[in-house]
Amino acid sequence: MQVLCLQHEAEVTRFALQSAMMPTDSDAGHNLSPLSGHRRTGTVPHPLCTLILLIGIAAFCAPPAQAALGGAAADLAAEAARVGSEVRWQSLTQYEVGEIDAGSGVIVREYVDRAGQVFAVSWTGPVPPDMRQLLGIHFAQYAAGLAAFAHPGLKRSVRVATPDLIVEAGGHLRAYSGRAYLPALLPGGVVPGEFR
Amino acid sequence: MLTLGGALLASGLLSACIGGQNGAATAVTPPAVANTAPLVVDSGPAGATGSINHAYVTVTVCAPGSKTACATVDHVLLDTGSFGLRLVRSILTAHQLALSAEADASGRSVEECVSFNGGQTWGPVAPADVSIAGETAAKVPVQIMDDTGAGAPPPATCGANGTLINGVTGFNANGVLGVGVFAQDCGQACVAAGAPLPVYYACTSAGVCTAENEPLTAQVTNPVAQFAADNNGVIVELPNLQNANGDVSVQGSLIFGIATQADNPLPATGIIVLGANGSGDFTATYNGNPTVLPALIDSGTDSYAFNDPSLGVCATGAFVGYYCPVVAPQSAFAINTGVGANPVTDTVDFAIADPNTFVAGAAAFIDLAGGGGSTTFTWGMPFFYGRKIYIGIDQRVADIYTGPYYAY
Repeated sequence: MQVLCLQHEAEVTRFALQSAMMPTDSDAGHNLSPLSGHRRTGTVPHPLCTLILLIGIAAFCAPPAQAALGGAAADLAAEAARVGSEVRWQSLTQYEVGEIDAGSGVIVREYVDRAGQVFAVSWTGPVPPDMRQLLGIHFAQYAAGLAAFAHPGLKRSVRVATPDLIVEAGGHLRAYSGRAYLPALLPGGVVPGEFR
Repeated sequence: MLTLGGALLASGLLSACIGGQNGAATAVTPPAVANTAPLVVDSGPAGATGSINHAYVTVTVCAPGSKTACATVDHVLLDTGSFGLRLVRSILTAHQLALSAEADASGRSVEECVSFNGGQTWGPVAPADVSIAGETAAKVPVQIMDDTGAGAPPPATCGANGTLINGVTGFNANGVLGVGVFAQDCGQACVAAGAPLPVYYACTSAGVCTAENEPLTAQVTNPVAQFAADNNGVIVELPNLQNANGDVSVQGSLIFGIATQADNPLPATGIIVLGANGSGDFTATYNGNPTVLPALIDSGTDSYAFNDPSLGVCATGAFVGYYCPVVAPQSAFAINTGVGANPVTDTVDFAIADPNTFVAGAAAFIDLAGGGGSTTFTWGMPFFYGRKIYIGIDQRVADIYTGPYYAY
């Protein structure tokens, strides 16, 4: 069972930290170390809080926001708890990947940069994910892109590309997959092919 | 999965048994069933024209057991990438046909939400007798795509992908005939899930719908799988185009059954058979790129669909969003590999045209490529022209092969 320390939502100022502060697989991954200083808001781990079961604390402390593209990493824990699941974190050089099993075989991965922001998502499963929820504020742009396709009729694979948002949805009945990302937020050297 | 060894052993034993009988009573061979339906690639049905690379077939549906309460529906999209028959409700109503939803064990109507990446369909699952050419399947669960709002409203989770695409303009077709590699559209994932998938719903008469599991027999089913014979798959045959820059229409054939009659043999040589996995995909790599992609042969996709960031995308004209290669036609290749015990590998060379050279008003195009979903490689309609494509249904046997498989 994944365990997690949370404190109430607080405004935090982070400054540039050494790469030695990079979180490991064993912790919840919320102790992020952004490479540049900036202000951010969100739940952060309190070094002195005791280990408490994820679901219980999430109900008290985590903001009831949806984990979505462009959203905050901290919302993933809340989202996972909401579907009775947990986030499996993986640390990579440029970013973290939080994986959520939505319970109906749909796996969603959210790619989080050093600033704690979700800059990409990918999915696979027997049904597509809830795109309105997954794309958050970017959904309207996706829907507009779908409506603007040159030719009518069935679109099994779709690619909606704008300067701010790229959505690539593919697959078919029984096996859907795809990814969406914000090109402006891609960490240096990261290519979209990594989002699977 | 392809079980070459097992099928060979079984057919060997069977031959031994038959060989033991020596000219006894001659069996009466039943007359061959008319197993070929015309296929047409054209601009679409009366209510929605402008289609490109959409292949259509005519399907007759009747209320179960009836020979008079029927509708013969033209311009049903042939889709080798999906499973099951779906028909637009307003088209059935125009033919004075109403099909009743099946009921689940508690007496509630079963409805379904199916996702296509451009949107979702919603409507009741209704048993119908389905006839195409001389083939008939009785009480096949069919999805009625409810564009009239007559039934229960879709649940909140249906339509979140985009818009509902229940009407004729959703698919540029009066329906979709899914003749892909599986019999049921959802399969085991919808039979006994702890949290039922948002696919099948039980709806009360008040229109309150709750997701639920459905046994395979109640799921929307590829009618071919329920034909009395010729039920192990289909062959799609389309000729080469007459014009490199587009034909107004193309006539071909949809043949039911593989190696079941004189007209649908599996050639012994010169054919590539690719086993598919549990998702209905084989694998492919593109242009030597090492990334292995799930792949399929899909008549429901109007182009070669794959991701190539080096290819320019058409920014203007009638083909915005498709690839507009700087040098056209651009050569490309992909390597297909089958899944299973016999992982055949085949390199396929293809070309990518500049679609702005295409003839306006034509409906069939070769060498059209589009930057579709980057996580798959799809051989869409351009792959079908000038080929026979064999789609083998899961667990059904044809000669020495067992589905699911794609062959060409």
